[in-house]
Amino acid sequence: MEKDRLHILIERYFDAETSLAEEKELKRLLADADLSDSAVAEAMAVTGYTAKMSITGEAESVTGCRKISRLWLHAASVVVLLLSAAGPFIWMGRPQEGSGECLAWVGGVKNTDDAVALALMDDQLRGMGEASDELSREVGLDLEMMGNIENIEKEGI
Amino acid sequence: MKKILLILILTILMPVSANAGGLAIDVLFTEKVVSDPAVTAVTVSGSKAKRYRLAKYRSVSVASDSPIAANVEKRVRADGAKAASKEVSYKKGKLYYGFYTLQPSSTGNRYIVYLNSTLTGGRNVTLIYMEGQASEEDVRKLMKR
Repeated sequence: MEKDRLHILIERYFDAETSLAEEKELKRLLADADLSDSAVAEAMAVTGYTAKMSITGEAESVTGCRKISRLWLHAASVVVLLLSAAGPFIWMGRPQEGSGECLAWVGGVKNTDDAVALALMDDQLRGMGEASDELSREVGLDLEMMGNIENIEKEGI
Repeated sequence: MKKILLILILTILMPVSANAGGLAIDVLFTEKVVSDPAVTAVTVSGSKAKRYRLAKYRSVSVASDSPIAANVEKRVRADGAKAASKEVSYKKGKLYYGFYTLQPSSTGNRYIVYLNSTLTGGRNVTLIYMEGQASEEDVRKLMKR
């Protein structure tokens, strides 16, 4: 019977509907309640907090703010959870400037000498540049040839 | 509480699904491939790459007689099909040279450059992947230093 009354009071307490007399009753019932009950444990934690507040004489103002406090608590929990979940991904997405690497694999052997990796990089880029130039020349020749054909056709007309 | 859990799950899944849209060439930079004796691979990132306005430079150069070589062209063509812009050249029905500007990612601009020098008497198939703040013009300048 007392247990049912306790749960009613806990529910009313979290809905900020309890009177001061009911809150006193709630604290009295909580003192002897079963701590393995999750609702009781939550109520104990929250009333412990408000009891501390009452020492400074702010207990009355707490009742009105309880819903807001719980909302803030939920909001803070969500922010912490989201940060902990998204944090690693945000970190992974950042350019890792400080912790960079410069290495080369040549013939199955790993080489961590910066100079070797950078020399290979320059060589590869240069090779690509030559191929790009060659392509530009070919495109230029193709266009020139097309222009010549067009001119021949015009002259022919 | 259900809503919180839903938000949490979506937050976790979002970056995972974004990464799922990776590149076909990614597998060519795994240790299994780069440590192959037929491969010469380079990885440059951090401050050394920053001087080129890049966050990452990766390359593999594969000897033409390696089975990896054919795989490189196939994967470059697959990624190239989704490129924002491209400049390609074919010789003897094979991709000879390709410069692909991919859709930018959260890490910046992304480029793939490919060259099959075996089609002009060379011995290697080379693939370069670059990402960072470098513009297409910056990358072309890098290639013509």
